[in-house]
Amino acid sequence: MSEEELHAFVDGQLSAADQARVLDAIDRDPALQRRVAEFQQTKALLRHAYERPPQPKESRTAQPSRAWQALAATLLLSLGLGAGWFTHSLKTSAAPTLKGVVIQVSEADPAKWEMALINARNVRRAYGDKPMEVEIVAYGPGLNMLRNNSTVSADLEEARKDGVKLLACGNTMRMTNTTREDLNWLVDVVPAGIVEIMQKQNEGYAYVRP
Amino acid sequence: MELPADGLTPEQQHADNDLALRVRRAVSALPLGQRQVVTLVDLEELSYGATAQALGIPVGTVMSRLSRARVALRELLHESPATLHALPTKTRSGQ
Repeated sequence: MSEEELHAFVDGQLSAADQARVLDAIDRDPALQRRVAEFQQTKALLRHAYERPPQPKESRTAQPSRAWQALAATLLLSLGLGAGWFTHSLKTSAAPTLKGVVIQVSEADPAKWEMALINARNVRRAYGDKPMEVEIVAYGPGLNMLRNNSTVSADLEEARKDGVKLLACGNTMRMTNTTREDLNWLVDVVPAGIVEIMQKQNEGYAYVRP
Repeated sequence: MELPADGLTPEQQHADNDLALRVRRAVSALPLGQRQVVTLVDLEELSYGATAQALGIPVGTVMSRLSRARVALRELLHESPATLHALPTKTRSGQ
């Protein structure tokens, strides 16, 4: 695998097939996990640095590395990197009043479903007992993720055990003649997936789309 | 169980500020081509394709510049490359 592919993975720019292949390689290789985590961290640092203008207070530059360490520790914590390597889309670390994370699944792509579940469980685990709602909202072709015969059925159960909410879009169900019985029993139904996502963003949830 | 309003102690805020300045300085030290790509991909969140189009360069060039930029940033931001890796161990074993 090339260096460029790793970056493309971090940026969510790979095709579904390539993404699955790279994800698989990363899963099996701790060195790759570390590199990916580093790239994600650089990316997050960059976004963080440009999020708001720093106040140039003529700070004592005596101990820049202490300052670096303190923030790196904070960032690592808020990004959940402490809990292991972290997939690409959690670029939402710095919001101080973060209540939760809402993850959109709208594609019929099992690699993305897996990614969504890994993201969700990593966040839940990183926060442990602390309050942090995590929900996956599936709509459109993404609804297939939550069906009884879905390729990720076992992972759905694990995610639910970790406290991740699984929400199906009622509109999509109606349009595709899907009944509650067609879906995994752990799933809850919301009237409209996209409205759920908008509301949650409004309530202070970070929005993630793997 | 709530975090303080901004989630950071004054000390952390200071560190945070310091770091933001250092990151910006590091970005401005990148060659123009790399800086453009990093800005469009990481800050504007454009796809590689859109970035290539915006800059009039091939997607392959976007990828190679991005790769070089991230490696360079990583080195610029870590005074000693070991700092970051050493963090968890240090915290654990620190007296």
